[in-house]
Amino acid sequence: MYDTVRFAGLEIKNPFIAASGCFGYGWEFPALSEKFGAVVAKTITVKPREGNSPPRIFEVPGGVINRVGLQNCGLKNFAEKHLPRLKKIGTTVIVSIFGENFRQWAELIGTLEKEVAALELNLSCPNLNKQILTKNPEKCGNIVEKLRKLTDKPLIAKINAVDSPAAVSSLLSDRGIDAIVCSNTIPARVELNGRIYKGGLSGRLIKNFVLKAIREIRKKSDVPIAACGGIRGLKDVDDYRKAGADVFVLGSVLLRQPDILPLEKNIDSEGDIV
Amino acid sequence: MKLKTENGGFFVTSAEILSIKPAAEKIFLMEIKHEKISSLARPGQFVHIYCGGGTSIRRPFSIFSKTGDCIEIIFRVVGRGTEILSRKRKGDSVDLIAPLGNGFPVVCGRPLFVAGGLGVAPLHFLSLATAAGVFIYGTKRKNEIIPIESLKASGHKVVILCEETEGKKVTDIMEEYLNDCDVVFSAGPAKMMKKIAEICLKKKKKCFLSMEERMGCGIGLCRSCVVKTKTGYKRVCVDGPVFPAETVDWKDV
Repeated sequence: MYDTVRFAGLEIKNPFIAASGCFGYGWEFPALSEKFGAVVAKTITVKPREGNSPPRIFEVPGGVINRVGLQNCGLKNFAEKHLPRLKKIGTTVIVSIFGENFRQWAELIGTLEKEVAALELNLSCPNLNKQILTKNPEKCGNIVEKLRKLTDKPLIAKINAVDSPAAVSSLLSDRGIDAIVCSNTIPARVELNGRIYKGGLSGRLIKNFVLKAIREIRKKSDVPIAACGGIRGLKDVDDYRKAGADVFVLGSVLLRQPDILPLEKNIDSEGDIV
Repeated sequence: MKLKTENGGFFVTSAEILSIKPAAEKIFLMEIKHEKISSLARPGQFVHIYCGGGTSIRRPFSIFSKTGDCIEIIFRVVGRGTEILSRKRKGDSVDLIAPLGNGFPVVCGRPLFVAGGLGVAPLHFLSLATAAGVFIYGTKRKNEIIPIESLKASGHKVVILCEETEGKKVTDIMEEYLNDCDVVFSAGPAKMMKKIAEICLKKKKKCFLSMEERMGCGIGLCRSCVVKTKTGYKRVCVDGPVFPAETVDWKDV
């Protein structure tokens, strides 16, 4: 029912991708995963990470704020236990990775590159107790330039819509990145029972920011763009396509509707900003 | 659609509301008709409902009981989602993923149930399927008590306690019943369960708790609803909601 598309040097069976973080390690429900053109497994780090202490999720009007904090089983466990199962599903396998330094990035790429179709570099996680990488474009560019030399597999950069997305995208494209995913969750704060928590905002609330970011990226660069931000139906897909996006990433909507594919008209569009 | 899991799978579907009625102050009892969900549902499992009205994530509710082709849930109106849900009427449909979670284990012997507030829901369902025991049910206020006298028909001694009028909590009286029981099942506020876990560990009683945490997907993918255990963070939705008391790390509670 959908056409095959080319994205970041890959041929994927349809233009819909399951976002990193919203779909576990990607293999848990084969009947859901196989509907996607590609599945991005949640961010893997060299060592296991236990993530943040709860609460980790908050609903706000029009969106969701999460502060999971990259909980994952670590590279070795992922490669041994999860990746073989993920590869058995009939969809393109992308794995999100995050390194704290060049050595870790290199280890992640070295272990995974032969087993996956592409790697997504998580350059914009808002839930680490350190500065978001894309806030320092030159540093990001240097990382990408060095990582580019380590693999021929497509490298995709996940950036956010608020930290100079156009400038970051064209810089990373010049340094050898194959595609951009815009946007990661956007840094936000939320109050619960008198305490303030920092997290990342996603959902339809961020769609207009992401649309604007994608228009700006497209104006500056020909880099392939995966749109991610509040997509929940064909209207959103159409809007992002017009803005210049090539493929469409479904994120927090999967928490509500894991079986959303095949996409239909927008769910709950009443009262939306257009 | 039905999705497979190691413990029988679940449905992502919509179902008809057979009835919805007030059960106590701001608390509603809703009967949902879905033969296959009902036949799969085990005590301790929950349903994950999309309430509509522009909410973004689902709301989890423990199953209160099942009869024939229906399941029943109880919920308290606490925010936007449950407010919308409370306005649904007989014949409306509800968007749900169910049944979810691992449920209570089957344990032989005489049970003691200790429920606080809406924690009564999973224990009510469980107590319909066990040997006769004691069911202690506490609420903060009198108007929050939902009727569970029917449990006496299953042979349980039912003790209902209201903190406001009696000045006692379930944790103040449970030890009276502890010696006569073989296993404790509990659900309710985290602080209450922490106390219950401490009492049971001290007295070397087997104890299973239904834990709660703010939840995202409900099917194990997003890792939002974690509780700290002795072996790291575990997901309430798929690793729980029921955990053996000795596995939970209570330091942060």
